[in-house]
Amino acid sequence: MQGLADGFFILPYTLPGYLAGKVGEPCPDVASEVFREARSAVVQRITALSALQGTVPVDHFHRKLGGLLWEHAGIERSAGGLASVLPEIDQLEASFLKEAGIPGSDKTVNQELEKAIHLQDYLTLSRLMTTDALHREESCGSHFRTESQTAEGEALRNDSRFQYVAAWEYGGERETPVLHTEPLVFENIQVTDRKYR
Amino acid sequence: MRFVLKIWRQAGPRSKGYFQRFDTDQVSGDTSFLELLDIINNRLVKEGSETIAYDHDCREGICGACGLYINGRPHGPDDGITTCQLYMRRFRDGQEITVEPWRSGAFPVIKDLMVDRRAFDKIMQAGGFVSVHTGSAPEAHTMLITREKAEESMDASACIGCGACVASCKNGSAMLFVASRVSALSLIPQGKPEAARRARAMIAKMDALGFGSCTNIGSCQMECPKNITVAHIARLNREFLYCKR
Repeated sequence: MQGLADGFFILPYTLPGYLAGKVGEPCPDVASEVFREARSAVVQRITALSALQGTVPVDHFHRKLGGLLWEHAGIERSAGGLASVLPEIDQLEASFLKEAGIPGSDKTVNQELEKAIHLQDYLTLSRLMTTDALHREESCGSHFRTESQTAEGEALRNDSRFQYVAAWEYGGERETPVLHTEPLVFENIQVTDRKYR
Repeated sequence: MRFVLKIWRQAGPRSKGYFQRFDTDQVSGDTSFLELLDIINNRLVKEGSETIAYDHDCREGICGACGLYINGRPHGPDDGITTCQLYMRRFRDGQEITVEPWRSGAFPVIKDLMVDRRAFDKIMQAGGFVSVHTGSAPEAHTMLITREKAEESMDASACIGCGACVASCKNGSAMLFVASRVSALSLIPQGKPEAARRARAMIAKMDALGFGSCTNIGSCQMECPKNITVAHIARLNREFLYCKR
């Protein structure tokens, strides 16, 4: 929920688990290619954001983005609503880059700059969440896709098409993420539907 | 409502600070204190001026991130609340309000109203934990703890680590913070085996980090947003004496 409307989320435990396995391994040297590439990407991003000379606070765009997702990509969503969000996110990003103002320097603590960096992450996340929600054309778990319901208004899963866990591979800013799936195989239980009546 | 705010500005840890005056108008009484700072900050962005840096996170009084000295009191004029739970209706229309960061040597100013409270983390790392792997929650009745002890331990656990106790103390002592941690754990069986080591380690760390000594003034208790009492300091002192034996 916080991820949806604020862009903050708790890391899944698999990530700290992965990192914990690396404890004791030597860190990449600051002279290494990996480090220099990462550093220059961060510097580039911060320089670009610091150059924003508009008059609108970052908070304004953050709230708008939260509102958009809350409205169209929340618990209840439809193909039409989700499809309409993607161009709106693009539009919001364009006006953010045109109108936002980041006063202050990038050499000291700068909370406006921090907010802008977070907003950019949230923009990326919001596109991914919307893409994923659009892809899953069924009602599943706590999410209700309006096109996928029974005559009585119950959530309707589509196990023949969507009985898998999905992970999206990040291919870079503005690149379409790549879907990876792993089928859910139930050996000892029979999958049933829950009725809320 | 209308307010005049005098806010502490300081570019960095070594810069000279000063008070900057901000006049605000048409502020709703239901605006929270932090929201008023946001309003001023948005105005500053529009003018292209640097915003006021201040810490905040949950804005519901449970995270301990926000903490401002408001008109000479940590977390403002009301008792038992954090800065984020303070609303502008609490002030008089037209009132002048002075806003400062926590004032204590062990909490150096990072920028404006933001201070470095990592010293608290270091004290916690020195002993503010139970080092047995507890796994998932056990069946509630496997460990007998009287209701009184459980309640007292919970009262001590209410500490959110905001640092108001240190900021209000004329000695800059962190005794109430350390006491709440030591007390919460020493009251329950899980914390007993390490109780002596814990009290000694946390007090040694507190001293090493430049926090002052306790002279039993009690201002920490008066200003604690979670109403933690100095009775816990008494328990900390007792734990400390035990570990000396």
